[in-house]
This record gives sequence, C-alpha cells and structure tokens, in this order.
Amino acid sequence: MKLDSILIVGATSAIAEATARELIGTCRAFVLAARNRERLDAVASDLRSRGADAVFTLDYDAQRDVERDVVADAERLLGTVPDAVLIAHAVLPRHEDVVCDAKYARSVLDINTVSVLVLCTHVCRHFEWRGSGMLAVISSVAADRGRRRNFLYAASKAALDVYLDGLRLRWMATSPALRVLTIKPGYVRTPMTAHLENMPLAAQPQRVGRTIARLLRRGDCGRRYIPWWWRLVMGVVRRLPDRVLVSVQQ
Amino acid sequence: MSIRSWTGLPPAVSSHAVPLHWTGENPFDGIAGTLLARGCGRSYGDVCLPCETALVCTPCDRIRWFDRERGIVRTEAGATLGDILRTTIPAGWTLPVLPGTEHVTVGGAIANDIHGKSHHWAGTFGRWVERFELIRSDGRYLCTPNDNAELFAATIGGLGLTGIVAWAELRLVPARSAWMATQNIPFSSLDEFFEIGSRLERSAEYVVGWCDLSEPGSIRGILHASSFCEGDRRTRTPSPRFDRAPSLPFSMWSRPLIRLANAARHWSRSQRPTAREHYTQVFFPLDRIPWNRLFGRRGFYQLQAVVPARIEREGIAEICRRLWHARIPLPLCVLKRFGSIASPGWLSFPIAGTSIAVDVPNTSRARAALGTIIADVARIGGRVYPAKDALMTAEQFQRMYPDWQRLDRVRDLRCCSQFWKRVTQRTSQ
Repeated sequence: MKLDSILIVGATSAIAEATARELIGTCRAFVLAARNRERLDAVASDLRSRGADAVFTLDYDAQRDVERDVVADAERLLGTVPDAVLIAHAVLPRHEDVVCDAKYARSVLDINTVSVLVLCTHVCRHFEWRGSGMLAVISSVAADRGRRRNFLYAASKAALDVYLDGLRLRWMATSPALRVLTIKPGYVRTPMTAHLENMPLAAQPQRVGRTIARLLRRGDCGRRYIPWWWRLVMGVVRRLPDRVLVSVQQ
Repeated sequence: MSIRSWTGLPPAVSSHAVPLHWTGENPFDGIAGTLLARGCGRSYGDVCLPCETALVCTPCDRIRWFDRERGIVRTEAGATLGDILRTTIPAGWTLPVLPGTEHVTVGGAIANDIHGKSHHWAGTFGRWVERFELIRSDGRYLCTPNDNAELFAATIGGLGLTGIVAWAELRLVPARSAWMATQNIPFSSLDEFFEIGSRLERSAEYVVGWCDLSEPGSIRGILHASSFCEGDRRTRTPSPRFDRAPSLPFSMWSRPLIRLANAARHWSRSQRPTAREHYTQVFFPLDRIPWNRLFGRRGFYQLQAVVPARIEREGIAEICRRLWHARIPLPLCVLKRFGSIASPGWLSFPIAGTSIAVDVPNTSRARAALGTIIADVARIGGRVYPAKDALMTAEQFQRMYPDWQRLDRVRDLRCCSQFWKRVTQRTSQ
C-alpha cells in the first residue's frame, strides 16, 4: 500500500509522536494536527530535524472543532488527500472526578468519541471518493470490558471499536485498497496515564509507536492489540464473571 | 519506586519518579521538596540518586533543530547521544565526545562533563556546548559562555545541581561515514603504553588503551586507535537498554576466568592489527550485553582516577601495584591519556595526565583497596570521577575539587543528589 503522506490527529500524544518518528523513512509528508501550538511546533521541528521531507501543522481542538473537516485542510496543504489518517487524541479522566460530573463526562465523550467518529465520517467520504486509503484509530484494551474504575473511558473507546468494525466490513466489501486499523494498546507510560498509580504490564510509547508504524506500512486491517499478548489477557478478562472481577478489581 | 544507579551501588533509594514530558513546563512548580534531573541512570554511583524526587527527563528527547551545513544540533536534554548520532551520522556529522555507552542523555553528558576517546583533541563534552536553557526554581536562564557565564560554567560538570537543562545546542564535527578504521597495537609495559599512545594520538581521532592486569606484576594490553574512514552512512537500531534484565545471583568474575578471558581477548586483537568497524562497535562495545548484571546482586564499583601529567607513570604504576596487592578480580581496566585542553566546568573531572578506570565486584577487600587508592590519588593531586564514585569521603572530594563551594553557592537549593549530600556533609575546615 502507498504510504507517502499521513495525517496525524492528536500528534502531540506520546504514541503518535513515537509512531511519526518511526515513519520518517516511509512517509514523505506529514500533516500534524493538535491543540497545543507550542508542543505541536516542537514535534514538527523534531520530525524535520530527523529527516522528514515535509511537515505541516494544523491547529485542531477536538472539543471546539468537532465538525471541522481536517482531512480537507490536510488536502489543501498536501495537494492531495493523505494516504493514511491516524487518529490519536484522547483524554483519560480521573474516574472518581468524572463519574458523577455530567459536564466533565460530556467533555470526555466529546473528545474521545464524538470528535473521533465525526472525523471518521470525513475520512470515509474522502477515502471512498478516491477509492483508497488507510484509517488507523487508537482505541484501547479498556474498551473490551467496562471496569469499576474506568468505565466511562472504556465506553468512550468501545464506541470507536464498534464503529470501526462496521466501517471495516463496509470497506472490505467495496475495495481492498480501503483499510481500517483499530489499534488497541495496553497500558503505556505517557502523559495521559501519568496520574495512574498502578499500571501492570506497562509498555513504553516507543515500542508501541514502532509496532503501529509496522502495521501501517504493512497496510494491516483489523483489531490489533499492542503488545499482542493483551489479546489473551483481555480474552480472559472479558470472560470473567462479574462476581470474580469485582473481587480482583483494580 | 526504587531508583538505582548503573552499578547498584550505593544501594538503590526509594523515591518518587516523576516524568518530564514537555520542556515548556517548570517542573519545580508541580513538585514539593527537592528533585534531581535523571536521564538513563548510567552513572556508576550516587550522582544519579535523588534525595527526594527523581525527575525523569528521557521523554523530552526531541531534536529541535539540526543545521546540516554547519553541523550544529539543538536537542532537548533527554535525547540520548546514540539517538542524536542516528540523525547526524547520515548527514555526515558526529558528536566529538562520546562515552562508552550510547544510552547517555545530553543532560547527563553536560552534568558530568563527560569525556571520551577523543580527549587529546576534543577535550570534554562541555567544550562543544554552545548554549543551553536552564530551568531553575526561580525561572529560566539562557546560558552561553558570555551570557549567564557563571551558570554556564557551574552547570557543565555541575552534577545536575544547578537546575534542569531544557535544551542544549551542540557543535558537531564531520564524520566521513558510519565506519571507522581501527588499529590494534599491543603494549607490554606502561612505558610502551605512553610511548605508543602519544604517537597514535598524533594521527588517530579516538585512542584508548584496554589493559590486562590479571597477572600481578605485568601490565599488558592493546591500544585501540580509530578514525572515521570511507564507507556507507547507515546507522544501526539502538542496542537494548537491559533495564529490566535480572541480575546474576552472584558475580561471575573470578581471577582465573578473567585471566583466561583477557588472554583470549589479547590474542584475538593482536591477531587483527587493523580492522574496519562500525562506529557503534568502536564506541559502544559494552552496550551489547547487560554488563552491570554480570557482577551479581551485590553490584560493583568502578574507580576512575586521573593522575596529573608530571607524575603519571609512577602514579599509574602505584595504583596497579595496589590493585595487584589486593588480589581482587579486575574484569575491565582502561587507560586513557588526557590532553592539556582545559575543561570548561568548575567541577569537570579531566586534567592533563593519565586516567585509569577499573571495574571491581563489590567485596570488602575491593572496598578497602579502592579506599586506599582514592586516598593516594587525593594526596598526589589527582582526581576521582564523581560520576563513577561511590566511596570518596567528603574530605577527599573537597581536596580534589576546590571549586565545590562555588558550585554550592550557585546551585539551585531545590536540587539535591545523594552524592552531594555525601561529599558536602561535614567540612573539615
């Protein structure tokens, strides 16, 4: 699959940053979209210094610019619709703060779910019009089962999984050049998870980024757990009865 | 969280580890008490152990700017030197000063003002630092040799006590390719080492002496002299960090084994007088194995001491005699001549003379022997490297580094390391 250009939404997230670095030899042009201008510039100049040919930046606030067509913006910068789109933005709230706070919960859902799904429809339109493209979205292993301390976040990600499953089937039926990749990382040591005290089996963002870059290069299609053994772990967690899970819960 | 040094000595301390992800923030605002910037934790002693909180700077590893024409790179302080080389070598540039491992951050290299095989022409790392931004508890400072010159000189070799380096601008030197031509020249006495060494330093860019002390009374070894040569510019993926590799239950080093290993190494290298090696093989040979785990759970000491040029032969010979006398296993011994280029930092380690570095498994006999050697070195006006020390007394440190009080005055009071606590605890004045 062609991977000359990529649009990365949420480019200042640690995983997206690590992925972009790994793609430098592969992708010629990067369009980075994120909210914080200063950080966005830092990531962009890092990619340029490391040898990326063309790096563009876009200001994008998932809460404010929900319906904005970022893909069209990227198209204006690149002159063509990007070959791949990686959606990486998300927030992980402190669950105790969010569980009874409607306004906060709404903002989490707006960022993690609504903005991502709306963005996916834009991607869908552009890719289907062209007849090719790769959409990769960072979900989470948490989406596989709601747990006591993160079910709002889990629900916000589970919606992505379900949406992408359906989109994948739609595209599989139309053209092999249209791909959907659902990326499901386990715990990763990033700024998003910095407030979590207990992170069993945590991975480094560099490792996750390397894997995502490999999957993108390969044009992979499907749900992918990173590291792969989270598939086994979540397979078990999904099947545990509630009564057991409540006692081993963390 | 338990935080340990590379050698496991002094014993690991339990403290908070807070990651720093963006240099735009002032970490002092969010953390109570003292902190210590920490990179990859490759220091051999307690200079990398915090008193309260460790600020882990490795996520700040962005390269901000790389001038491919003039050879200047500006990076955040958490970038490792290996990572920088992977960017600069394909463009035909290298860092002039490289230590024995690629897992060293720019911040750590500045804080310890590290040196390398190129000291005879390049001096220390700090000489190639053009400027840097320092985050202190009261604000940010842009430091160059002219602006905030006092902070500049205090931070280079300042053991991380003057604040957090946000980014630094480094000057590079041309490298023809990623490949190096190496000469391996055996020597069988100290006199030969000095004679061949000074000859090689005139022609080769990187010179170091590997030394076999396993036979009491005999000093032999190989001088490795390398220079960049023609070839391709392909770099290699980073070597594993082995951060979570388990330790052997006890040290694998015994004197007969070392004698055997050294004989094999000496023979194989003398069979190969010239070789063409990738730069990673020349600079970072020990990165391929979890070297520190081979010394068992009790850890090991490294002693690196420099003997001033006017008495270098007698001084090094005396240190070797002490080591033989103690009958301790010495799996690694490295000799390196330092040139007369002055180091820019107040507490920089290198002085004109010859340095000896030995790795020693942790035993009571080793501690006693190293203790006497350190006392000797202090007496004759030599120095022990703070980045590799776990045994110096406060009195010895203050004698070797008379500028320590200057640093103590300039340092940020919210920065503290176990090392600084140890070597400044009681002044003998």
